[in-house]
Amino acid sequence: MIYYLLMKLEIMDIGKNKDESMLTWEDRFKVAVGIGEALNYLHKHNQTSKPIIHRDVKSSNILLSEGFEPHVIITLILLTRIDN
Amino acid sequence: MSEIFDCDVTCTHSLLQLSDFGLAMWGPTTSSFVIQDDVVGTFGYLAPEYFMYGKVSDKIDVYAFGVVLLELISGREPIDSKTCEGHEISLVTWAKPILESGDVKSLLDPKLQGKFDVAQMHRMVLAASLCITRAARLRPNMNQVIITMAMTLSSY
Repeated sequence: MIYYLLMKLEIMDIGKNKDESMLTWEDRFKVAVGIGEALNYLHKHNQTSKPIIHRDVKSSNILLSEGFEPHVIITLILLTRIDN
Repeated sequence: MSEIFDCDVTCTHSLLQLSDFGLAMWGPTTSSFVIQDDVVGTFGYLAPEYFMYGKVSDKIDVYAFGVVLLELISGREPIDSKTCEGHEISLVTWAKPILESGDVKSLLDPKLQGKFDVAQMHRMVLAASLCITRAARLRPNMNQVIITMAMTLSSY
């Protein structure tokens, strides 16, 4: 469902496209800081509980919504299985 | 992939994807790393200690984040098969000597056509360079990386 709300753009695909759809420097910096903040949040995870390690950080796991807001896809199902 | 939902995370967002296999895991709290037999992830983004010994800590995400930063800076792919010798070369292998030489402008994506913020570029290059530090214990944590990227000019 959320896929319909976001443009699924792989970062490097944008770089390969024609100049008019390429990420500007400003957008690239914004995307970088956004991903960094998301990972920092996962690693801290409420301060009291255990940190979450993503293990598959890559550009194709970053979706950009309008305005180039980055969203980090995280695959979660094994969290409970590994937590023993 | 069976379901996707959105989880609001302060100013940014994480998309939680539920699937039959998962990659994310709880990090260690009492030690600096745990050993995982199954090395999962994506070639080109794997930290050396994870790739070689299966050592998992938050630092493997930091390393992969460094590779993403290099992608954003250079416009290159994490693994490039289009080298002149026909060999595949990783983005890190390509970038390290350039980072060490200090000639950071030659890292930049030519498609930017020189349009970039010099201070931001230096901060992003510094952050990328710290993230891909080979020794995990010398690699900064994500909080330190964010601080590096957010430094104002007066911090220099």
